[in-house]
Amino acid sequence: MTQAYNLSQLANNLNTAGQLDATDGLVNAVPVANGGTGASSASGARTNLGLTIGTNVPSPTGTGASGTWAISISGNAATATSATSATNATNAVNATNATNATNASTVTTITTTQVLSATSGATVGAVGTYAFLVSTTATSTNPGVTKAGSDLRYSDNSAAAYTSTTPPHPTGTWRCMGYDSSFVCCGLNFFRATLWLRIS
Amino acid sequence: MQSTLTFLTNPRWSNAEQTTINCEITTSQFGDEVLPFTASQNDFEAHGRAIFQDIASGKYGPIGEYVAPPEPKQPIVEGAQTL
Repeated sequence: MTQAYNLSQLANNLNTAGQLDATDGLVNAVPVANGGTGASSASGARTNLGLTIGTNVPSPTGTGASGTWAISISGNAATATSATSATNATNAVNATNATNATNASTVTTITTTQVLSATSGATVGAVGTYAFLVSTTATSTNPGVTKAGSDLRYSDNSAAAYTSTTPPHPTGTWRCMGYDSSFVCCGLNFFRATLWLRIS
Repeated sequence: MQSTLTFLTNPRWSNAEQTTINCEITTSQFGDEVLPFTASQNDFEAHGRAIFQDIASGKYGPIGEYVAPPEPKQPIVEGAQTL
């Protein structure tokens, strides 16, 4: 009789399609071992499944769990303190391989060899390169003074004669990195070449 | 460092062939420091070519005529100038 009673009770919880209403047809939660969560709440379910926030998995703020978590960030990680391979990591303390790491205090992948290799690959006249030039105005030039490229000529250490067209002149803006003591005497121009740096 | 052009003025041809243009510029890198600049269509730097094209297209107004500098009078003695 007891079995018949239980079957009767079960039948009462079936809808017209013969489906069981799980909201009031089940007394206990389905155990994890049977494909359920073994819990009647979301937090209990997370605990039973080993997914407790702050213990097993990081919180939405990324804190509270130990271990290393792979997070895919694309675009901008402005406040990241460590942004390996980030496209843009402003203020990153350590930005290994970052394409753009403004204000990074540590950039580990740039080596002396890489710097020297990049320097050796510079083209004559490129921004950041030095050149031995003579100014076309026979007046002295102090260190730090800037001149347009057309007012300079490539030169040798004798500041040999030039005309208005030869030898060729560089382009852009150049800053004097030495001292040019050119002068005029007896109606003649005496030119002195020195070292210049292209800055723009 | 990425630098951008913030101001450009006084463009004028700097050779008779009109392949280079002199002007004064300021950039984000150097702030208010006015820099003399030679823009060339043959500049190795892309920004130099772009500035030349912008000036030539009239973006910064009319381009001043080329004024040829006087040929320098230099000592004719070969070798080091010892004065």
